[in-house]
Amino acid sequence: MGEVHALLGHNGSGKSTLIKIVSGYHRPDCGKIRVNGHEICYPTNALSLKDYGVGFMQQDIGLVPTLSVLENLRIGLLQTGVLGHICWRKEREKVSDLLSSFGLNLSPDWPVSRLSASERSIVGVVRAFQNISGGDASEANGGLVILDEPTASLPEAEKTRLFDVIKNVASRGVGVLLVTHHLEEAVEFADHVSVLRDGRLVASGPIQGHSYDTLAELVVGHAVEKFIERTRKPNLNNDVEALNVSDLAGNVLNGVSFSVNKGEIVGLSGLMGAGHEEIPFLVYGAQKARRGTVSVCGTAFRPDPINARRLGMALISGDRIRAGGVLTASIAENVTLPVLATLTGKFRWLRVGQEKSLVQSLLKRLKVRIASHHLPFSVLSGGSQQKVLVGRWIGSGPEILLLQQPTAGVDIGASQEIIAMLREFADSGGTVLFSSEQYEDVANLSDRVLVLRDGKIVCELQGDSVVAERIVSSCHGKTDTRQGEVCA
Amino acid sequence: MVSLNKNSTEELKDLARSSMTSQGRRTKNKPAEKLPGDRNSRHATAKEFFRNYTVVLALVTVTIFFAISKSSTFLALGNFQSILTGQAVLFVLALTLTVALGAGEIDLSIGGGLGFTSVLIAYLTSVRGISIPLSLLISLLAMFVVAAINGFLIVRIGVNGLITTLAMGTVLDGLSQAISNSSTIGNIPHRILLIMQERFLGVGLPFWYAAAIGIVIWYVLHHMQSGRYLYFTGEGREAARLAGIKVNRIRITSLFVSATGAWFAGLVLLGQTGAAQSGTGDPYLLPAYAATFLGAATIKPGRFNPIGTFVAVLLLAVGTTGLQLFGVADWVTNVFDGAILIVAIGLATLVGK
Repeated sequence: MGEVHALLGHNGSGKSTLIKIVSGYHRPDCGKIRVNGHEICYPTNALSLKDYGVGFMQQDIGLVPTLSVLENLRIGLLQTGVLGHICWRKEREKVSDLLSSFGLNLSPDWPVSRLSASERSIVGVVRAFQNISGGDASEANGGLVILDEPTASLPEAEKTRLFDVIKNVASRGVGVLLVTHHLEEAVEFADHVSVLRDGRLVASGPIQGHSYDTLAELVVGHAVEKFIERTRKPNLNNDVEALNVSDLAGNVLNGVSFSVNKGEIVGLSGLMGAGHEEIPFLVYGAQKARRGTVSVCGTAFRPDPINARRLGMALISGDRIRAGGVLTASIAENVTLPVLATLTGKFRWLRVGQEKSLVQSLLKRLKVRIASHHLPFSVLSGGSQQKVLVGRWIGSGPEILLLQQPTAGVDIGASQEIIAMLREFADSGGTVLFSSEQYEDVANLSDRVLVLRDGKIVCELQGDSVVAERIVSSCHGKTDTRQGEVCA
Repeated sequence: MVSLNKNSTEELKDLARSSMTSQGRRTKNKPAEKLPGDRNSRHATAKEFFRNYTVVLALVTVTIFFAISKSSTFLALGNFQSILTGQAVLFVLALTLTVALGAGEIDLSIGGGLGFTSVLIAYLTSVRGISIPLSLLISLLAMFVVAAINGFLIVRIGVNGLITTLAMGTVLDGLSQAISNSSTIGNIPHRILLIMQERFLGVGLPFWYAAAIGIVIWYVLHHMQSGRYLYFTGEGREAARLAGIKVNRIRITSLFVSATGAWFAGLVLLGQTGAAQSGTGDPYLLPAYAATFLGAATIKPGRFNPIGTFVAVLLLAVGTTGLQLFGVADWVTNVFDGAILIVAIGLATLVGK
């Protein structure tokens, strides 16, 4: 019987570095790693780690969407006949057995692209497991499966299913190292827990006696303050309408109308794929709307990033790698991108001195410490990157801030700072519209929450009903409300 | 390892204490913990220096090597002057290519464009007898058409730029054959030769033109808002688009810059050689890429930058000239250029990591 061991720590705590060392991506400076009593010789790679009994599932799972489940699972292990041909029939049986032993009812021939998000991550876990067990559904003789943020892209509801599989893997005698940002996962599912902070192990022991709060304290390094309820209670009658959306439709989104007032923070939530995540992009014009109109401060506008910027909108995409900061450009260049026009002097020469002081003051305010702001953006941890991105846009003085998943993949410390920044922005009269599936954060941040299901708004929560439980239950349609009805 | 049950404030104190002791040689005001990307040791600074100036150091090394081994010929002032003059075409081509590559576009039609321009101007002036300004204008417009087609296909339609511009280069080669009837056009108007063969400080004017172009490009790319936008477009197109940058316009403009560069390089080539022939532009294509990629590994590593390109062209020129002084066969030049491109791409990739 193996255990589930959770490895916690915020961005930049050394979690990913540790995993990268174990996986052979980085070479250790010193120290040893033993698996099943055997010391791993470095340098190493995934193939030889398999022989040590270490299997991995990386954060992006690493499945090839166009290939079948079978091919993805068995790549490198395919059984061949005398002539070197693949024994597809045997393989198919084997994979079917393996999958059904994990309660997964899939055809091995389905392309991975056909699977749901949770099924994909389950296939990823199963692959990591069978890589070390040699493909037999039966007991493995020890070994370790390392899962890096397996729930990162999963909606709340599907996490339980994945954790059933993870427990199942552990019950077959394999140790599971669960790397995660989500402290509640550790509390709920792990047997042991280790916490890293600033590259050191600050705690390690059984999960018993730990709660979300004690773990949060260990991760952050100081007691986590509970958010005080936002003082501003938007008065819908007197407020100035900042943004009005009517009958907006996108890929999933199907005719959504709502408005947001000046100084208000509106959260858009739902299960993954419910359409809420499209709204910031459609409003900003980064994605073409099928139909619908958007008006800003009473005047209709044609959604398009350049127009949107001119009208004082800013969009922070949830896809930080591709559409957030530019990783190869320097931190300073990323920070000043939205305000470059104000930094030009004679002959449109960029005033470097002014840029430097601006960057330094912003980084200081965001508490992002860095050796030099000429370093590439990629040296910052995920949490710092997100802080800088939110900070730079707020610093550019927008009227309306549109965000997608502002706190996804961000450690608890950074996400609290981001929430605080956004609140401050709204308090000073800014308008915030964001989509998220981090229900706790949605509840913490929003004055009002719109919950979507199948591309339509199914519920509007405000006032005291803005709590995570209510959001989650409306996502699943447990509340008895009809479309568009305010269920406060 | 600290046990879980220990009071966490105590742990924090532990942490603070241990970091105090490890503060050691650091300067007094710096925070104690390691900052991301902090390179504080002397060793790391030296490494940084080598990383940034690899190509410059290579240029110095190669120059010193040839200066010692072939001091009489290589060190002659005239030799340096002729290196600079002789590389003017490449300077122009590589510097303007830097703009296109910086914006994330690739333009393989510049070799064909160069040859096409020189043939077209020669044809218009000496065969057709059209005035020089008008000929220059017509040929420039022709290259604008080329750029517009490239830009339309690559940016608007989304065709693969590598294939599009490769094909465009071949089309231009074919057109120059058609115009020149596959023979050499001589009898170029004297004024064209004059503006390209006059010397200033012993160095041909084309080099000074190239230097001026380089300065303008350097100013725009490194010191203007448009330059930042261009690099952002090249390095993170989606991020740039969401930030409200006119990404498409920048991409198309960059292709116009490389086409204009090819046009001017064609004019320089015509003026320097005094005759035009189809296919003369193609030998410049590979060195131009070698220089830009090598340039991207230096000065501002990981980024196509005009100063790097300039230094890289010099390195290529000194290398080839030195080898020629040793009397090695002509084929060595090709091997040298090709090898440099491979090394350059390798370096740029390593440095970019």
